[in-house]
Formats: sequence, structure tokens, C-alpha cells
Amino acid sequence: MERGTSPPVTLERAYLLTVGVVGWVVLVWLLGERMRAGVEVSLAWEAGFFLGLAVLVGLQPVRLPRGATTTVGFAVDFACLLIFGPAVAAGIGVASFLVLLRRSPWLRQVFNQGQVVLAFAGAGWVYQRLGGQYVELSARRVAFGELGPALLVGGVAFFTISSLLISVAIAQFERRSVAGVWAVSFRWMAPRFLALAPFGLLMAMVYQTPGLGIVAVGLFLVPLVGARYAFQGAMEMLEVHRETVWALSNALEAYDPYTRNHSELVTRYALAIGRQLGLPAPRLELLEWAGRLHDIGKCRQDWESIIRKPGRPNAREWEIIRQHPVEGSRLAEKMEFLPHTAGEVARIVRAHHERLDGSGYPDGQGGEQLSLEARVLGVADAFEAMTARRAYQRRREVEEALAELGRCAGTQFDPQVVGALQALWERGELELEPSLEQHATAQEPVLAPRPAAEAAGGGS
Amino acid sequence: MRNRSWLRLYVGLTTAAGVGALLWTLRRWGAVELGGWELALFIGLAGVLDVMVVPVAAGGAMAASFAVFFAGILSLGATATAWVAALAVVWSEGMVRRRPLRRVGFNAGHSVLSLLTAGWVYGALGGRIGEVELGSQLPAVVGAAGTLWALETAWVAVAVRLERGGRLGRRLRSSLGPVLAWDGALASVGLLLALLYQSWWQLVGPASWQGAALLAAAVFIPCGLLYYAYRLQGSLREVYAQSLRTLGALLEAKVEGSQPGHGEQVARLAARLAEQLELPPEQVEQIRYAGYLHDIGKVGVPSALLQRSRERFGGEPETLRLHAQIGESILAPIRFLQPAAQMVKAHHERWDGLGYPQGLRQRDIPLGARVLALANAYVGMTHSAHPPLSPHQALHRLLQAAGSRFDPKLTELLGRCLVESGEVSPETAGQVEFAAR
Repeated sequence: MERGTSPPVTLERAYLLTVGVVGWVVLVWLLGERMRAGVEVSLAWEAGFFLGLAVLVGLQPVRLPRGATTTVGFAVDFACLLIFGPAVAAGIGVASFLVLLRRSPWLRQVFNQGQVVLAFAGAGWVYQRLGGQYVELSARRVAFGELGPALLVGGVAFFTISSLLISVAIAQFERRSVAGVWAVSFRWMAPRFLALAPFGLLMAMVYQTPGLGIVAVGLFLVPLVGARYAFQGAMEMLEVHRETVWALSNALEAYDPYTRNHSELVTRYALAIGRQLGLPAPRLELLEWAGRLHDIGKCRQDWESIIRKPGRPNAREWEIIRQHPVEGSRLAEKMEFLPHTAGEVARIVRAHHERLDGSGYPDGQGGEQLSLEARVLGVADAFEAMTARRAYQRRREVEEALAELGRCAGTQFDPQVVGALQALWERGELELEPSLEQHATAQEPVLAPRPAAEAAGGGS
Repeated sequence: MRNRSWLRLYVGLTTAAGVGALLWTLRRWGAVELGGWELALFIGLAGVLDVMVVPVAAGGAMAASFAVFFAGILSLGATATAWVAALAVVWSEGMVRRRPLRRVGFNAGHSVLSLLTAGWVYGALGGRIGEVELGSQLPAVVGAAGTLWALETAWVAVAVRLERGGRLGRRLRSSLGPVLAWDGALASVGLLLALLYQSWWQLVGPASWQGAALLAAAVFIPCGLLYYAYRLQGSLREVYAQSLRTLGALLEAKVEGSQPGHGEQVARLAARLAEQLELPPEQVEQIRYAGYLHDIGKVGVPSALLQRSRERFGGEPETLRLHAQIGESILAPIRFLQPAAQMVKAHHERWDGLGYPQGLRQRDIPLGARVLALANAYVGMTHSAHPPLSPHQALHRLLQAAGSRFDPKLTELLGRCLVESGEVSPETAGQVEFAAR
């Protein structure tokens, strides 16, 4: 990248470098302060143990669907902060990144070292100001709840600083607003992240109990290892489930020339629109499932004869057509994949033929009653139906379809959603050919782990 | 059936022995010096963890209360812990989960007996109650945990064996491993609890709710996470099976001339046969999946052909024969379903090598595919044929074709299965077999 010809890139690199340098300065200063206060001999050995732990935990991430990963790294970070204070904890964080990120570009490494130091320093400062203390973390004080607020605010500070620094970097590279990036990539994982804080606290307390130390931390970690493997198994099952439903629903469509690839293309358009609208990862996930399954209610022997019949459908046939989203949602419910999304995919499937003005079917819902996902799916479905099977004159067809969608925006379709689709087309980001691949390829993490790695699937 | 009464006897004896052992410990209760706080803490912890139950694939279930039972042996001694366990089980299973009384009695009974034995092992190996220390007492600690694990698992495995049949050794082997991973993690939590009980309980001040809350957090956080992860895995497996069933049914709706519910019936019968063969749980699962999906390749065969082949009695046109291979190619990209895909491909192979698509013979045909072929034929005869055959007639036909179309041993097993479930009476089955030879 040449200087002068692309100044924004230089700005981004300057930001990464600045965070890195500031982080290192803070680290040196913190360590200096700490040295002046006097250091116990055993400290190096203990810090080494926790460094090993941090690296171990970082090397064993759980792979989430769609290529993102997560670790319990924050629990170890938080324990380090409480046991050693910010200076040594930041040192451990930097050292663990030296191992974990050794294959990343140097600038990214420096940035991540900087951001983790700043997160530790900020969290440590807040924690101390609120009366928190290090080293002698007596069970009695914690039990009596005196440290509660300090611990909570410290944890929040760590997450906020780290996620904001990373969001700024992503926002610069992708030309998006910082708030937007943060909302998409980090907001949804905040509760999960903070749930790890009690873990870290407990680990620190167990570690500091006289006569227990490392042995007790080891005992504490065994169930975590067990849980990690079970969790990994669950995630693999999720992936297998996705693979299976995709393959089989494709097969159900594949042998009918009129429906071949329909669901796949609808899903792709819906996901592209969803990303354009800034939907967070979990909602994109719902959209993907709903896109794949939205027409599954059409699986019946007499469907083709009804649809292909010349002339208008009679009352009974019309009823069958109107019922296919209901039937589809009933089936989607049976294939629901994640415990915490109970019924959401089914609701989107049920509403994909509803219209904004309430003139759609089966329930005649409109306006605010329609979820954003359902509106997106409705537009994607209509767009695919209008542009399918006409590979020749592709461009004109698409332009006409978009114009038609534009005419119906506000009555039948959500103008915001139609606008997003038009923007995608104008930027040339809409792929119209079906792919041979079964499902979207995993995305590479944008910037390094903790908490960035978990957010990598977040459409960033 | 005879097994039922053995099971009842076994459950009754376990309950009675548990109650007897509890009463017997009362003679030594004087030696136990415990306050109400300590007992309440352990009963509360064990009661809550006893609700965290995870099923074992080979039958039975395992509860997270193992951690507290083990900690109890080390901290309170087996005598007090036996009472803790009995009360916790009665409270959580009987009063919260409202399970049948026989089960509550059985679970409380075998817990008490295993605990007392493990406590004896702990003492015999030099363990000191309330003064756990990992150097010299390591053998005692490991011995107690191992005893508790082995006894609990064996106790349940015997009950599963009596309930479902099969060989005890195989039942035991297939459950000891998975239970070890779970109990090992929980034993680690239990040991941690025992160690923390010695220090924190004194540090914070015994008999205080703050101390109890701290210990509870130290136990519930790791146990809860472990339980959550196991449950998630289990529930996703269930959802998966449900999904396959739905997709199989959808396929039936799409293919002309197929019988609604056919795939599900084939899956159920095939899985039943597989269980009778005592195949490992994963293989039974794959056979069930193959049952749901065995005709999925028919979506690739034009429906007019399917219609015609139904009208023409007997031979199937060449194109229809493709469905086995198409089915395999649909399932091929799903790595997890590889075994099932092979079964789907070979479910029209014949024992004598005259089947399709490859003309495999005898044991070259995957076992699952042989099971599937038999189940498919039986369900087809009893449900789709015009007119449907009675179970007895169908079995008769199948036995006639044993050795030519079907694996003779499997066909006999199916006969035994049908007799056992009462679908075919033993006398007619005898006649059938006679007639078949």
C-alpha cells in the first residue's frame, strides 16, 4: 500500500500502530510501578502457570457454527487480574498473544497486544477505585458482598474497552460506523462474556485459599474440560444438522426443474439483505434457516398440478396455496435446531407471504406485526421468483424485477428492505448463479481473538 | 414375562437392603459429630444436583449429585452421607420430580449401599474423614471415587439388563466408559468441595449462609456448566432424529404411491432388530436414520414411473432401481450419515447376490442393510400390500425367502421378536418355521 495514493489505509494502519504503542508504554509503566512496590520471588513461577493456562485455553477454542470460535479465555484473564493486579495480568495477556497470534501479520499482533493491555489497565483502575484489592482476596470479603460492585464494573470495563478498540478498527477497515460494528459484532455476546466473570473470580479465590493453590485450580478445570468436549460435540451436531437439512431439502427441490435452487438463492439474497441491514449473527442464522425451509410446506403430491393448472385456482386449491406457509411453519417447528430459538424460524416461515399493508396470507398481518426477518424473506422470495430461470437477458430481468419491487415498496414490501436489495445490486454484490457448495463458507476472523474471535461470525 | 418379575425382585431387594443399611448405621450415629448446618448444606447441594440428570446411551441415567456424595464421604463420612443421599434422592426425585415410588426407592437404595461400600474402602486405604490431604491419602481418595463409580454403574446396568434383555457384560462395558467421563469430572468437583469445606467453611465461619453460598457457588458453577453442555448435546441429538423423521415423511408426501408412515415404521422395526442384535448405540442410531430415509432416492425417479411400477406386479423397471443409488448420492455429502448412506444404497441387495445395485452376497452386504431389507419387506407386506398380509402371513413369506432374499439368521431373529412382542403367537410361529423348511 503506497502512501499518498490511499491515505485512508494509512490512517487505519496508524490507528492500529497507535493502540499498540500506547499499550506497550502503559505496560512498561505499570510494570515499573509494580517493581518499585517490590516483587515476591514466587511470582514469576505463579505467573508462568497462569500464562500456560491462558495459552492452553486459547489453543482449545470451541468452534461455533459459521466459523466463529469462542474460548473461556476471559475467565482466565479475569482470574489473573484479581490475583496479580493489572501490571502482571497485562503482561500475561501480551505473552499469551505472542504465542496464540504468532502467525498473524505483525501490525495485527501489535494492535492486539496494545488493546489487551489497555483493557487490563482500565479494568484494574476502575476495580481499584471502587475498593477492589488484589493478592489477598479473602473469601470472607467476597462472601459478604463487599467486592460485588467493584468486580462487576471491572468486568464490564474490560469488555467495553476491548470491544470498542476492536470495533473502531473494524469500522475503519469496512467503512462503517463504530456503533454499527459494535452492535452487530459485540452486543449480543456481552452477557455471555460477563457470565465468565464469576468463573474467573472463583478460580482466583480457589487459587488463593491457603494450602490449595494450583492443585485446586486443576480440580476446578477438569469439569470445564469435560464441558468443553460436550459443548464441542453439541456444536458438531448442530453443523451436522445444518448439513443434513440443507442436503435433503435441496434434494427435495432438485428434481423439479421449476423449483431447483429456489431456496438456496432465496436464502442467499435474504442473507445479503440481512447483512446490508446490519442484522447481528444470531438473527442472520434464523434468516438462513427460514430461507432454507420457507417452501417446505409445498411438499405434497398435488402441489404441482395445482400450480401448473391453467386458469385460476378454485376455492379448495386456493386454500391449499394459502396454507403452505402454515404447513411449512409446522414442519419447521419439528426441525427447529437451537433450544433458545424455539419457534422463531417457524414464525418467519409462516409470515413470508404476509404483506406490509396486511393483504397477504395466511394471517393478514402487516406493519409492526411482521418481523424484519419475515419482511426480508418476503422480498428475497419475490425477487427470486421474478428473476429465476431466465439466464439470458439476466441484467434486464433483474432491473425490471427491482423496479417492480420498488413500485410495491410501502404497500406490499418494506421500503427499507427493498432499498437494501437495490443498493446491493448497484454495488454489484448480488450473485445470481446457484453455487455448487452446500452452505456458506466459514468466514475468517477479522481481527484477533478475545472477544473479537467470537464476533467473527457476526457478519462483520 | 419372566424378566419383569426378576426386575421387580431386584428393585425391591435393593430398596430393602438400602433401608436396612440406613437403619443399621443408626447404631453408629453416636460417633458422628455433625451440626444441622453441615447436614442441611450437603442435603441441599445433593438435592439440587440430583435434578441435573443426563441419560446414558446404553440405558439408565447419571446425576450430578455424584460430586456431593463423593465429597460427603471425604468430609462427613459415609454414615452421614448415606443419610444425606437418601434424603436428597427422596426430596428431588420423589417430591420435586414426582417419579414413581419404585424408582425413588431403587435409586436411594443403591446410592446408600454404594456410598457405604465406598466409605469403607476410603477408610481401609487410610483416608481420614474431614482431613483430606492429597499426598498420602491419594490412593484412598481415588479408591473411594472408583468404588462409587463402579458400583453405581453396575447397579443400574443390571436393572437395564433385566428390563431390556441382552448380555450383562456388554451392557456394563458400553455404559462404564461414558459414565467414567461424567463421574470423573464430578469427582474432581467433589474433591474440590471437600478441600474447600475444610478451609472456607472454617474461614468464613461455620454455620453461616455466606459460607454455604460460597461453597454452593464453587459446586454449582462447574457442575451447571457441565450439565448444560451435556444436555445441549443430548437435546441436539434428539432434535436431529426428529428432523430426519420429518424430512423422511416429507419425502413420502412428495413421492407418488408411497405409504404415509412407511419410513417411520421401517425405522422402528429395524432399530428394534438392531437392539436385539446388541449393536452399539451409535450403530442402532444409524440404522434408525437409514430407515427414515431409505427411499429418499425415489424423489429422483420420475413419478409416472413409480406409478406404473406399482401397477405392474412384480419386477421393477430399471429406472426405479436407480433409487437406491440416488439415495446414497443424496446422503453422500453428509459425513455423519455415511454408515446410513451405505445401508440405503444396499437395502435392495439380496442374500443370494441377485439384488441391486451391486449384486453383493451374504456378509458382503452391510449388516444394517440386511436388517433394513427385512424390516422394509415386513412393513411393506403388512401395510402397503393389497390386501395387507397379517403378521403371521408376512412372517411366513419372509421365512420362505430366508436364505434367498434375506439373511436367514436375521429372519429367525425377526420371528423371535414378533413372538416376544405378541404380534405372532408362538404356536403359529412354530408351524411357520416348520412349513418353511
